[in-house]
Amino acid sequence: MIRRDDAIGGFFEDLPVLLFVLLGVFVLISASVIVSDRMSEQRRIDWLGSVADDILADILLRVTCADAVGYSLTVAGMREMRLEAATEAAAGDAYYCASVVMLHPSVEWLCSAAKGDPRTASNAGFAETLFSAISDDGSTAIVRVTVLAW
Amino acid sequence: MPGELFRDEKGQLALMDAMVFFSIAMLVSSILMAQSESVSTSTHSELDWPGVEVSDMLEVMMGASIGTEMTICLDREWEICGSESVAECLCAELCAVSKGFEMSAFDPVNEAIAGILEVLSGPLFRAHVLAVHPQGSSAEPVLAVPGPCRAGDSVHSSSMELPCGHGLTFTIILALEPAALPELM
Repeated sequence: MIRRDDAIGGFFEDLPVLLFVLLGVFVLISASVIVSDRMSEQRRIDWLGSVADDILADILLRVTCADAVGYSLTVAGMREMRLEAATEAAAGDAYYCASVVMLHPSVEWLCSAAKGDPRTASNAGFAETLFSAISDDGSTAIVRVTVLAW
Repeated sequence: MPGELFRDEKGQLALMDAMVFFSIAMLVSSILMAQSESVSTSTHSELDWPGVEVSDMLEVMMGASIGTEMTICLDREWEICGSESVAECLCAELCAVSKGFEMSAFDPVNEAIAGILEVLSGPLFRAHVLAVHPQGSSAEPVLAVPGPCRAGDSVHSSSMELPCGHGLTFTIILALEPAALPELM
């Protein structure tokens, strides 16, 4: 067995080097994990946004092509509309809440569809549009469609 | 040499290399974090209008019925039954004002338009309708409902031409500005 001071001195001399290298690697790995989390979260938000856009487009298609399926672009027709048929296909695995509300001349909820509990949402995509429709008294109403996907 | 602590410059060079590596790791990490932070915050800002396109909102608002029955007293009484569009009412108002009638006669119309704007913009933003005469000498709006809009980067706007007959055309601007804090409380 060989005993001398060289090895002992070399070992303690390398400890600060090891400490700096380990700290540097830890900082790099931590930053990579955080950035990766943020990017995946951003991708999910983008995906939810596109899902909300798709659901909105399907609702608008159903509303504006209403003549073919027996509805017309009237507030009375939208009260009878079943949104689930338009939203289920576009939503896929995502949860959503879609509502059609008349804003003017009076505020009135017309119809809605939902899947899932919004209290569980951590990220969400949002889409909204306005269009005109004929109200019950023949005047031109403003109707808003809002879609929230999570 | 037994019993003598062995030191040379190799160890110090290794320590310096490690410190350089650590500094570079810190630099790269901070750049990565700053970049990802800017990407995640640039998509949404408190001043962003989250709703529909302002141009779509202007188009829908101009086509909507005014929704309120009222009587405007000018040289003769003008009955509004409520089904007239906002565009028609604005056109009549701007024509009357350009002929020299008092703007105050159209206060009921302006109040009805302000009500529509309030519903459309929601609580976080304030919407303004401004009418500007393109051939006018002044840049001041002829009409501002519910009031003048402050200028700034946070104001989102869209405009359209409103022909009022007899060669008279006005530019209608819809401007959305973030609501002031006291309005939200």
